[in-house]
Amino acid sequence: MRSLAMLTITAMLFVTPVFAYSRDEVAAIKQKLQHGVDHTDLAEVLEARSRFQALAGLEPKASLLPYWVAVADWRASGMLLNGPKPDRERARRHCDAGIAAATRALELDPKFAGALAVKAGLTGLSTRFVDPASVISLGAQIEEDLSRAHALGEDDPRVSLFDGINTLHKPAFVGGGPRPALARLERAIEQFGAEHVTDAAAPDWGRDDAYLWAGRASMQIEDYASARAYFTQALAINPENGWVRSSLLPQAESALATASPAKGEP
Amino acid sequence: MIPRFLLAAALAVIACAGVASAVPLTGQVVDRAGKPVEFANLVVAAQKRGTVTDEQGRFEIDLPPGRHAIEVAQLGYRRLLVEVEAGTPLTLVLEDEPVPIGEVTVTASTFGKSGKFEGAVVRRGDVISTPGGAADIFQSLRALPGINAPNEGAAVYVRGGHPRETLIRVDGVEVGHPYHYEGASGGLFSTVDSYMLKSALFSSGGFGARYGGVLSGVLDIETQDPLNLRTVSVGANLAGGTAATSWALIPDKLSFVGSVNHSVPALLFKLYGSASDYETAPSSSNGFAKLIHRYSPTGRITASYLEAHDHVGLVASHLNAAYLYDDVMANHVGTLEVRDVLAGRMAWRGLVSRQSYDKRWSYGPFGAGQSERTTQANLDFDWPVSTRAEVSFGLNARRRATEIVGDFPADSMDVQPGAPIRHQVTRPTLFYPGVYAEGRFRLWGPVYATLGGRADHLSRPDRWTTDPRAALAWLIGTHQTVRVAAGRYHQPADPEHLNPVYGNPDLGPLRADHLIAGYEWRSEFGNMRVEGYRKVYHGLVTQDSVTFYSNRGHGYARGIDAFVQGTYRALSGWVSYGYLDTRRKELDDPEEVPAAYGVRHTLSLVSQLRATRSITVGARYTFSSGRPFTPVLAATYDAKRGVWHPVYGDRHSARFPDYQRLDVRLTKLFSIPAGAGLPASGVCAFYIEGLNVLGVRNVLDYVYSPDYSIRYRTDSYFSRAMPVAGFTLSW
Repeated sequence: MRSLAMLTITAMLFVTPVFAYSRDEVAAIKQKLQHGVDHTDLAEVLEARSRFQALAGLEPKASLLPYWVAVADWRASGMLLNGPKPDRERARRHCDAGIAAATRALELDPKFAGALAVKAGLTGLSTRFVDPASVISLGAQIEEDLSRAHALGEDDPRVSLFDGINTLHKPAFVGGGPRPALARLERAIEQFGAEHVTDAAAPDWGRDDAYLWAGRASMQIEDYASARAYFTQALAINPENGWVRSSLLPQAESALATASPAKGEP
Repeated sequence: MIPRFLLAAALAVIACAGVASAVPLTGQVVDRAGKPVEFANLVVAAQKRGTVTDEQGRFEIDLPPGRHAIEVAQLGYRRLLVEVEAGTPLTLVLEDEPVPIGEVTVTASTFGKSGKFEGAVVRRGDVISTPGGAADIFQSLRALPGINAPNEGAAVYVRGGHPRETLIRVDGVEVGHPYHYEGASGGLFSTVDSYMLKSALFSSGGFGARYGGVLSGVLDIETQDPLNLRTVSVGANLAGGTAATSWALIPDKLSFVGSVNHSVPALLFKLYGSASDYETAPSSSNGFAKLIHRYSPTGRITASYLEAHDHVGLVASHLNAAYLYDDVMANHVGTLEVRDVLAGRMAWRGLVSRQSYDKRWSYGPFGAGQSERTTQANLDFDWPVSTRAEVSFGLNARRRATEIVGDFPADSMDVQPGAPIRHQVTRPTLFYPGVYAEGRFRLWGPVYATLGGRADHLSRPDRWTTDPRAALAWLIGTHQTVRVAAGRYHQPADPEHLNPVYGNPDLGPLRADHLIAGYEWRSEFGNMRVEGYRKVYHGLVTQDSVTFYSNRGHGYARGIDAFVQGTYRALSGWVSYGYLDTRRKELDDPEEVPAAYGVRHTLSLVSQLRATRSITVGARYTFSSGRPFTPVLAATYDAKRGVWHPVYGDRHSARFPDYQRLDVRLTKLFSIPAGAGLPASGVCAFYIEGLNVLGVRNVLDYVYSPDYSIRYRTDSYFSRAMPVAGFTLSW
């Protein structure tokens, strides 16, 4: 009987459908998402999103899949808002869908710090679509989500990354601005340095983003040398990062060339 | 071993043969216009297979021969579930996703400034940032359409209705007396601290079946319920101080929110030069505390307690007599509430509450004490059946025991010293249970409807009432909505009319029938809404020579409300305008006459300019045409009493002068860096507000010389320019 059971299991392994959720499948889509982000290819990001969504439909209990949908929505919303032809309505739709996906991931795993952080990031983006008076309450919600995400994932670099991005966009009178953001982004960089992800499906993105956003924060305080160093480091980690390569790094170098030595090179 | 291996190999071959014999299912996904839908995802759940369309909307997926159920989804399109035959090329057409029912405001008369889909809500930011609102919920609402405010009071006069015709709920509990310094026509400020406000739905008519026992409007306030915040706020201005906190005692499990507020505006009156008007400087305090226990991801138990007190003593003139008016009020409301979700779909909320209200006033030889003990229980269910339909149902029960004991003038026109006094005791107890059910549906394409009704039983005079209600919304494109609504509304008679000796304890409920039609245009830059309405009153209370009071009164209110709101870069603002024509026959009116609080034109202009990232400058201009009053034409001398009695003209045949006021406000937001053992602060604000900066002297009332030959005006509360400065600090 035992042998028969073994045989049955062996046979089932053979007949497992090839399109079902697998770590490798997720890893492949993650690559596609990253490729789309690196090359500012919205279509590729949306394709990755749809593939994650399809997998989530097949595996409704896997919290990682709606998480990845939310990450893709966050990427897509940003691209739609900041692209050459901003499309606010589509961006809003992805923002809403992303928040719903992150919420779904949290329903499946209430202690999923990364999902909470992505939700906070998407909520931050959603402030672009609402009445200014609502920003006060949304701001409180973002702070609450990030605070909780830190408590759940003390060493999660992506929580610190979203915290840094949120801080950079916050007005100075509520503790925002480039300098406090830099502190959080430095923390994220430090945490990324200590991170070792072995699960192919798990979140492992953001290392170059941390340097990228630290560079942007440095640009705002006109510390162009540090900005250039951050952008260079981002490219060292991810040479494909098109935004850094074609836009941010040249901006830093150009600013450095024209800035006074006191603000630029030592 | 060998046979086993062979068997395994055989099974593997069978499995592989299964794959090899798969039939490729190919096709294209397009929208209704035939345009390819890229990156739509297709899932064959039974086969655990899925794929995504390419840029041309094309797809290919291998499936075993036979029929399969395929689910196709893409953002912005309606999810499609079809059964297909593997091997047959397909063209799948996705239809545009209709707006889910939860995102459509079908209900009429829900004006508001914020919220993504609503139209219906006012949030804390709106209250704090509205100039001239003194950060008070009710004062801020006055700038919205549908409220015909004839003076500076906080009372919510909705479309010609008396403030008692507006239901005010806090976290689902009806708060019978939500004002500080409540008088015959409402009060001055709210007893709910704006810090506690999460959101408030304000409806000026045509509201849903969930709300019962009221004729004109609803203000449904939800207080904060943060999960993990740990914040402390303190604030002060020339009129008082406040402190509040949100504190997560056990993260994710137990949190506390609370506030205390104390107001002694003596300094303000001193600045204003009116301190001598008051025998006792008015003072008020209120507090709110809430303990929230989340016992599961979906369930929570909340215990809350609201307390309010105020005291005022001033020399007041009325009907040619001047006495010290002294008024003390205390209100306590305790609530226990449970919320959870049944079967992952149906949200339910149950609550019980107990309100204890006591008020004692005296005016010369007259005075009375009023106490109310109200017990309330609600059970509500919300079931989102699908994106096309939502159902709500529930039951409410309220038991209110009122006691009014006091000495009142026997002749309402004689309050002179020595006037005859009538001692009166009224102790009505009403039990008022009701049930309701309401469905929200997408009827067809862009047409959405709300259909519902409620039935209530009034223990005295043992009568059932039924209130059908319906609303229809037609979404024209993405920017425009047309709405119509109709409904019937009942409200019990006021306790003071139910006196067994000097009243009629068998008075039936009052009734109003609403008919509303409106148009709304929305975009990301702003919105515009126009609404016409007609409200017909039946069964209003009139004086009766046999039974003292009867339900023979009637009346109507009709008008137009308009609201235009917009944001352009750093400038935002709105304009609200209301036209109202209302007449009533109630109490001693001989026929339908203009209602005492019927203000024909109401206009509010509110603008805010974000001058810098931290400085906002705002202004609010308010205009109301004068409210009606009954003029004194002459006087007759009562030799026996030695006093003059007024001879009135036609009821409400004259009007007070128009009311207008301009308020400006400058707000500076800042944060305090860490230091002295304190962490860096959150959002702090400093503000300077000028109330009635033009110094317009508005009329609150008229009083007369002893023989009624000379009429004097009584200025309204803010008839001189008044500066107010204050701050709030938050950690």
